[in-house]
Amino acid sequence: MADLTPFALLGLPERFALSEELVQKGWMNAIARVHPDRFAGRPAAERRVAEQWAGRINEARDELTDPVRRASALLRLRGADTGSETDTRMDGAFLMQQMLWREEAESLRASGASLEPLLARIGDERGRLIAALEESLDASPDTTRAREAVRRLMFVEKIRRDILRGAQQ
Amino acid sequence: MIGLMQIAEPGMSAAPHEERLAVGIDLGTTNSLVATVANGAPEVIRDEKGRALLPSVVRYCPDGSLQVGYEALAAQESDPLNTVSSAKRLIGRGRSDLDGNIIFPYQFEDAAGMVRIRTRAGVKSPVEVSAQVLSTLRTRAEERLGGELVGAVITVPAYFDDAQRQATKDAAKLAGINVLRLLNEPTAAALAYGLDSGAEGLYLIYDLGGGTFDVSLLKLTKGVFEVLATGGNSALGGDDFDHRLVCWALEGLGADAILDAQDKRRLTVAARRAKEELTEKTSTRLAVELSGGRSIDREITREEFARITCNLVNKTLGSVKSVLSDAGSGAADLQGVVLVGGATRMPCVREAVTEFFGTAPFCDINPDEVVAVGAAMQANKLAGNNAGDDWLLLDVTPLSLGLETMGGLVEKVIPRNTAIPVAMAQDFTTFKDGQTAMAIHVVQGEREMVDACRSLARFELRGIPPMAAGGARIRVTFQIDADGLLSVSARETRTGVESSVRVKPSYGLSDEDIVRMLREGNESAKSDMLERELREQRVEASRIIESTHSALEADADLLSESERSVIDSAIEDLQKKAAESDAGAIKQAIEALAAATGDFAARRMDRSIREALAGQSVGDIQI
Repeated sequence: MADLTPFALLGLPERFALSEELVQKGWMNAIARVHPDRFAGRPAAERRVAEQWAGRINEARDELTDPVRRASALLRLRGADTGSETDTRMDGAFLMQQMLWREEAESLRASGASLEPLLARIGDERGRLIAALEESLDASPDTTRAREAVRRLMFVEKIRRDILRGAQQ
Repeated sequence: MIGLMQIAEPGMSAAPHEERLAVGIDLGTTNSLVATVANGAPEVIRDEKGRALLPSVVRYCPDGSLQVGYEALAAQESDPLNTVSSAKRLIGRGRSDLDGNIIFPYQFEDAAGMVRIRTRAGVKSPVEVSAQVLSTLRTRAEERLGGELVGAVITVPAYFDDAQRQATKDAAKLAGINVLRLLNEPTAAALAYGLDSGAEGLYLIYDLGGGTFDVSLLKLTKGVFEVLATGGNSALGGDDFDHRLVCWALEGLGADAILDAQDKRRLTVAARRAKEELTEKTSTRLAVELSGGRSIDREITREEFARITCNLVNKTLGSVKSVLSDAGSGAADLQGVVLVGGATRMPCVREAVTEFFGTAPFCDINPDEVVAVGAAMQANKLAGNNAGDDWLLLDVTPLSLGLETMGGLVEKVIPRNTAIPVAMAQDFTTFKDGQTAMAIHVVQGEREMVDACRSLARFELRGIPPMAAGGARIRVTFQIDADGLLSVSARETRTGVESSVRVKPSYGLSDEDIVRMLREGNESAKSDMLERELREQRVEASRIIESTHSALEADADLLSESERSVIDSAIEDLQKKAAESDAGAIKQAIEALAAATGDFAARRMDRSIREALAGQSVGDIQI
């Protein structure tokens, strides 16, 4: 089971540009073939195998829907680690930008102003990074660039989540 | 009918067999029902008097006998301490979990884990009470269908946690019912509607039962029912509307408002009647005689009733909003709203729902019966009676699962609304130098503090080799099967030290409890049971022999010669035991054959799934 990539499990091409709709369609198609309920009359040992496959397919959907995880999966397939655990160096300007965003979110929240404009700017940065990933993973493969972009995207996603969570409280 | 999804069988079909009797059971707080699919059409099974509902009420009578249903309900006023209703509110709950706002007229017994009720027949757990209701429905179904059930799908509120689900399963086990699946009630309702009315798109199920409120958002696509999000309130239902009316009536009594158990019961019954009358009439009287010559006689209008219950209705709409926001949807995205549960008959609920969604809800199928009908359809499918229709239900886990970490915080491992079956892993590490054991505490709930979540299980991973703090890498894997039941394992990834637990909630019954209750309950019917057991084991033996033969015919190439001969001799042994009349020996031989073919079955399944998946590609997907 482990020999099949999440892309192969859902019958999708190994590329970064995959819309959520496409992943959803691939998932639906695959899960419908392996869900244990399709084997309701079969012995327990067979259903357990189906269950493992179904779990793997559900996980593949989550993995391919999330751009960070999708990009990381592609990098792994190409033999390149994202290095997020061993290599924590980051461009100073990028880190400074993060700090400024966080401070801005703090002061907006304190003054009761809308977070939307800030979130829109962060969203723009996210869009740029996703475009960079499409470029460096699909169009003209460049592992070093892709690795840099996916690591930045991780930071951007985290700050977006943190701001949204803060807004809910 | 909707355009159902056509799915290629992955290279095998179930062994041929006769129609297997299976039912869907809606085990409700107030009423329960049983339904089946006969000749391709679902139908509710009625009692000898033609009544579909069975009040979920059990009475322990002075002569030692039992009453279940309408008889027990009728005795509720006169014998409140020995007549148990709303057991569903108590099942899988501890004393401290119970909603303080609800008056329970019982004498509770403090027991470890689940709350228990003292009756003249002894101390009863809510599991035993529910088992009596289930057993009555099982008998009704078997008499009507003329045979033994292979199993049942039992519905539970989507919001039920693992402890409540496990307790419900225990009740079924006590009632001698093989549970094919625990199915979420709103999902069952959607099944019943989806297949009848050709629905596609987003649907919201608003299910206000006697004791629980559930809301689920489902996406229907080509015969696939996908649950996107679920929420609700496990302690809010029609009974709370009764309770509001009781409080309203008591206002009139002032300082005299001290009631004994019988008074409480009388007043509750009168309040329920008044509530039901307000569905048809615009006003009614709530009149009741109480002890000590006191009485209540007040007129209530529909408007007044709506006013005193509007905070309850608003609570339901609050849950609706959070489910919609969980799924990133709004009321405008919905194709329709389905009403389920007898309490949705209340005009104030229908009006509030219509106003909130800006559209009239669906209520063509009797709201009392719709859940049992959907459950029957799923039961028919899981029993292997493929009626030709090709739909599939993809459910999610209703509550987040996590682990306790430092400082009493919860680290979520599986977030709520994750599609099941699922396996997810998270890495943890040791926090002390030389630490050789790690306590794993599994909790369920949405809050960040352990104390605010439900504790499901504790176990320990031992034998970690001493390392510096943070040196060990402990991978904890949560696995939820298609039934929604959880197992957890922990493994130190560098050394391979392993420990796992099948989660048995701390609030549930122990296996010893179950065995004891089974023995008590079946003492009288022991010989019947033995005979039934023997018949069942023989049927099972011939099924497994037949399916092993057909598997050997199809995929013998997957076996080495020695593996093949092990299987052949296990078949031979089972055939011999089945010809004798020792049920236990047959069971053992069945287990031996199942064990001998386990690897073979796994290899066959693996092969056929690979073939099925290899057959797909984006080419099949129309973008």
